[in-house]
Amino acid sequence: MEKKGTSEDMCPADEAKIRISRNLVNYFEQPTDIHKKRKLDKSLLVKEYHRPAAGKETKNSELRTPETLLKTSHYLITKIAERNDRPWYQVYEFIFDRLRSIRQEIVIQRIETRLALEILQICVRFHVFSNYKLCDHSINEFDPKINTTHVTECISKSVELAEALNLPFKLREEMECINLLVNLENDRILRRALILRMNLRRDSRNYEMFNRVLDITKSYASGNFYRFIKKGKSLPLIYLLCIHYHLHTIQKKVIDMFNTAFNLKRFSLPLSKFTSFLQLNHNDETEIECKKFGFTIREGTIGLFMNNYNSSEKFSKRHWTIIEEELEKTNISNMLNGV
Amino acid sequence: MARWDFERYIDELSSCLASFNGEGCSELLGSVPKVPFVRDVYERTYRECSNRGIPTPFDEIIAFRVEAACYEDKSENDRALEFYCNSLNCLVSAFSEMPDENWPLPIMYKLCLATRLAARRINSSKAFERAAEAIMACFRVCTSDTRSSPATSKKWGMLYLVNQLFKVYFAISALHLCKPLIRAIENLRDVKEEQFPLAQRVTYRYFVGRKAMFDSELRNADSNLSFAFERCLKSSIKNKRKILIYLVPVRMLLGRLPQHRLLKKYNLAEFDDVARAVSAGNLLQLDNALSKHEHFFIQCGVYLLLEKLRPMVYRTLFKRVQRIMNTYQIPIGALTTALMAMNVEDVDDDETSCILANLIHDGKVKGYLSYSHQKLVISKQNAFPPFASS
Repeated sequence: MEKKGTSEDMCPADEAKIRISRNLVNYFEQPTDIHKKRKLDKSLLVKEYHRPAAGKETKNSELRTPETLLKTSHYLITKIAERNDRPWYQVYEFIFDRLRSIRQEIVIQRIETRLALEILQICVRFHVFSNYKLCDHSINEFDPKINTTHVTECISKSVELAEALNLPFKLREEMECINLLVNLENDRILRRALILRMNLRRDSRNYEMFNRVLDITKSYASGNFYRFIKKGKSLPLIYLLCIHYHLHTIQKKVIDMFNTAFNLKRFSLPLSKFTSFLQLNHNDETEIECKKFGFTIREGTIGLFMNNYNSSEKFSKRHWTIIEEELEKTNISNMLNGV
Repeated sequence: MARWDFERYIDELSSCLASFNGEGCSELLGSVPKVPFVRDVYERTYRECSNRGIPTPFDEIIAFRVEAACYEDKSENDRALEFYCNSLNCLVSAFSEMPDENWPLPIMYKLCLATRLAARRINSSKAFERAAEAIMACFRVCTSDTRSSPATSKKWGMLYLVNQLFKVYFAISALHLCKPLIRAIENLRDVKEEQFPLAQRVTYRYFVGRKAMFDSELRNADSNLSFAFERCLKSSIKNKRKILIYLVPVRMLLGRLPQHRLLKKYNLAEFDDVARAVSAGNLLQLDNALSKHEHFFIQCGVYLLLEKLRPMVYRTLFKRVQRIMNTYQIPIGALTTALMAMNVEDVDDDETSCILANLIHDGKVKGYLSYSHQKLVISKQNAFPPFASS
């Protein structure tokens, strides 16, 4: 039977009642000082994600209307995402779960409108941003694999939906670009983008950013990582976040390459040069990383003794100065909203 | 007159079925004469069949086939596809209950082909998926036949069905679905790939080669596509050309450039420009060739593969600079200048170093980089090994 949500609360009444009575209220759903009250308030609750249970019939009253779903997403990425009374990984965990339940309802109710697209896009930005923000956290606090699964799922759904809705390319451009940058190693997506550009040319519409991102992605595909990073660094914040996604992989490729190509026995390569080639933030970081790989540092230069290279090492994921600077100037909720 | 034609058609089908002549039935099912009824096509055809002693399920199969043909005539392709799928379903359920018999295979082939073509006319991924589902059901019946002796084994149907499925999966770019099919063919025990008809094998190798190409398994792609090209019927220029579209780029990446004569014969001049750029180490020419024929290359799906020729072009360009300068220690700056001359946009020595590091790492240039002297020091022997060996 066709499902159509009727609830206009962020958390439908049945769930709210049960959770309040059993005291299953998340920290971010409790009133804070600004609310000037301490009693639990069902309007602050947001519906939790539940795995689809076989044979269980969902009532329409347990589902939210499309408008409420969008309103709830906005609430999460403005009111909750800006909270700094708890570390971001906890904020992430909460928003992730609640957005997931929203996405689930989009599927259950088969909402295939621009409104659904807007929600999916918020999810994409949220997961891409969180991947950066939490990149240096331990696996107990943040699982990059799970996050990546959700990035890929949301992005492919939103690209598909935007295509099905036949929206003007300007409205699809951001997701098409993210799709390319997140899936750098995926030739199928790159091929699809090439066909897309070919068809756009015929329409001669405006697609400057997409064109730029596609060319940058192509330089990665042909193995020119230097150009990929150089050109990529000039892209807007949301795309920088996607590039950062691959940074530690690229760093590994570069160090492998340099290890075979440079004559490092003579200690002639300055540490600072390595820092810039590897896109690290400080020489200190370069020193730490290089030592892991078996290099020796002597008077500000890098060298390697016979066969000391430890090729199985990996680069640590770190925040990137260029993004940190951008983030200082940026309002997080605006960014997640795509403003 | 039309009615008489139709009756004779059913008669012929009936006698083919009576003598278990799968080929004959298949031929007849390939083209249906004009149907004399306007309404109740299914019921009436079914009755005609029963009257002429055509046994179940073939009466149903024929009725569905005829109904599908009617919708095809009216360009109602969605309904035609549905009826084709129905006819296949009937065949599948009956066929799985026929141990030690494989004579209806040609009928299955014909219906699968018609189903796929109906999906192609609709040209949506949903339609292709619907067709794939029906063909897959046939495939399952064939693979699960483990008891029959080789002579009557349904496994002989596998390769044809795999090829049909390949065509569908390539049309909807669902290449990941091809892998289990390839494995099924490779794991065949009682019947061997070599024993299948050559035409089917050529098609099979063509798709396996293309799949390998997309997975960047170049040597595998080369051997499969080469087989397809060499064994393909000489007279089918069109098919040979199709194979070459993939074989030429694969071989180029393996370091073997195509001959001008061959490209000319098969009307593939587009690759000529690329090959010339690669052999001359002319980056500018490569860029021009790629953008000039972008449309063609992208549509064939080889554009990205050709992009990967870039490192080889760098290598030859640098080799030419080395020849001119005649030294084993080439200043990085000189190579940067060469790249600039090739219109590489705002390139600097650092980028050149990275390109060189990559070439050295991949064994395309033998030597090392000296940072303090800003030089590429190349090996005195074989500094630029031929492509094919690197």
